Amino acid sequence: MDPFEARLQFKQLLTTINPSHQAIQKVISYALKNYELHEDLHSVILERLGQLDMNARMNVLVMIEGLISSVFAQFGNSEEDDLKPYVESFTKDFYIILEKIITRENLINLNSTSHILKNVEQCYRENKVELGGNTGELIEKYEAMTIDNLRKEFGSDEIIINKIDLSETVFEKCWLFLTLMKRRSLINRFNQINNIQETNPIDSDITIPLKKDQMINRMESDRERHKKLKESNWIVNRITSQVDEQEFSKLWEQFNELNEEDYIEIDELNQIVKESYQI
Amino acid sequence: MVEIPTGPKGKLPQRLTQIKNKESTTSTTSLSTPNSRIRSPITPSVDISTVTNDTAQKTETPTNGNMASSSTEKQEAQITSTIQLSRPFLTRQQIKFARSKTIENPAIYNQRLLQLHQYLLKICHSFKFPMRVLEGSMYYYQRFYLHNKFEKTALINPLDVGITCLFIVSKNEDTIKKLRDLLILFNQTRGVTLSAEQFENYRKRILSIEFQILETIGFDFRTYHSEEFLIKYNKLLKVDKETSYISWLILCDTYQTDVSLKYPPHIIAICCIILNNKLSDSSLKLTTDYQRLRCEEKLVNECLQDILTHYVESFKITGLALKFPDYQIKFVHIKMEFNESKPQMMFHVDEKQKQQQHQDLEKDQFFQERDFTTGERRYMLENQKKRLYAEVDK
Repeated sequence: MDPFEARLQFKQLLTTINPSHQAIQKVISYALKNYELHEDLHSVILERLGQLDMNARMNVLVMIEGLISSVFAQFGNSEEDDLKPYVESFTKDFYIILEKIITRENLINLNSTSHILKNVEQCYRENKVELGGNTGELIEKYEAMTIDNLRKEFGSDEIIINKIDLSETVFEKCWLFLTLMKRRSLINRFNQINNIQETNPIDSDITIPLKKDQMINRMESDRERHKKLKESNWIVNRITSQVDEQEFSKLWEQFNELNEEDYIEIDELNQIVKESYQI
Repeated sequence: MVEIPTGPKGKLPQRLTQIKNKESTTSTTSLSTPNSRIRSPITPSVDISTVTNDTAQKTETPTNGNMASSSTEKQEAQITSTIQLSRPFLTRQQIKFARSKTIENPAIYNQRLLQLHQYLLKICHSFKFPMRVLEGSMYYYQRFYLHNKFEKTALINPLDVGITCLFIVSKNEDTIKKLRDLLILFNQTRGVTLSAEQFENYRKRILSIEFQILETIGFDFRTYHSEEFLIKYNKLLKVDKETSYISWLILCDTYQTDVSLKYPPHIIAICCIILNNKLSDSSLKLTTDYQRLRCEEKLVNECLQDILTHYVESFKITGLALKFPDYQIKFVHIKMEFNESKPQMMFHVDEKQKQQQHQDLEKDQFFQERDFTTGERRYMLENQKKRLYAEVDK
């Protein structure tokens, strides 16, 4: 397929994206099929993101998450880095992508984005990609932020923006950006609760309220995403298509040595067996 | 047309409760008490009149070849209610007997079973299901074919049964996926394309199979996870993580066999640990400790024999073969050694006992063909049996 045609088709796919597993999988498999054109398709994503509405932008982010893990699953075994399409470009541009998903005027995607960012990082780490930097602390700080401790511990916007400029790794930048945005949303909330007028009225003018069907749409997608989030409780990522040690490690952590309660359970099981055999 | 009696409770025809259970099958209990009395403690809100209708129709036209109806004729009574016990584990002979009634060609059955294992494994990988989902699906699938016909002419495709089992287990294990998504992937895996309408019909068919499976397993949703016991025993016996991993691989291979039909999860787990111990030639003292592990030695021996047989006979298709391609000979040695030690077996019987067992099994209604048309079907766990007898005796 020539790049021009692929761009057009991919653009179309991104326009019609919805939160269902099927639709997202369709985009991912298209991207995987045409992985030679990954640079073109990547630029389509960046281009398109700015034009879609906020709900669709979120769907694209979900798709990106899926694409990254699929690429690792498919190309994970190859040693050379250039054999992992998309991943490198995404890593480079993740911050830019986030800026489009969460704009200063519209923070609706903030919460879901933080979950996805965590998953993506986890995925990188599971596939042993060197990220550098330490995001653990930033994530903790991000999650601990509430209206109450906002003013004491999180300084001002400028300090955080400064930090973003200084930090070198992309995920550190991303988390700082999310912190900045969360701070903003909390300040908004605080002002609303206490009936404080916006100090900067120009900002609030830009906020475009969602239409009714957009809202309903949004609720449905959020429900879908929430289901997906719940899946992370049990999901097992296998790098090869065989059972692997990671699943076992998880089980190993999950259970402790046999204890008194287990003995009771085993006795019960033995009883069930006896009654079931009837011999 | 026979007039359908719809009068008050007192006019209900005499009912017969058929208990599909060994002890009580020698004489099917006939009850002169009004049926509502037996029924009320468990399902107090059954609509009496609907059941009555059903009875009347049955008297009129007994279906041919239908077990319940033919015994109706013999006993000259009507069967409107059956009680089905769930028996999650069966002995080797019981399984063999049940299969002799449902499976025409064991070779094809085994072949299909392995094929299904491969399909389901692929789906588990695609949906990132944990292995316990596969374990449960294989268990339900095999239980289904203890009581339902597996043959060319059967209406239900075994692969469809398999995917339905996976669907049920995914709900039971709280790893829920939409049936639609499951089916799309399943069709992709086996290279089938369906039109939208065909797909919708297929989905409905799966839902009807689901109900049949649920009836076959007697709505027994207790789950058994061998891997949980595997880890716990391994930790108790101070086996390190790396060595334990191999025992877990062995456990995953047991999903290809029918050990889960026969043995409880802790027995399977301990067998995998014993085998792993023998493979690695380490000096773990396990053999004398069954008392402490609460495992019956005779049962462990049976299970060990089954797993060993599987490895010796079909090593190439097991997951362990991918990691250790040269282990087959080790298993052969272990099996020879095991047989030479003449272990005590739980299910071992001499010729005379065998005949007696066979006769008992013939009478045992649990292994008769299931009748899914009887007016009212109730399901009980086997440990509620005492309550059942208490009720019947009244």
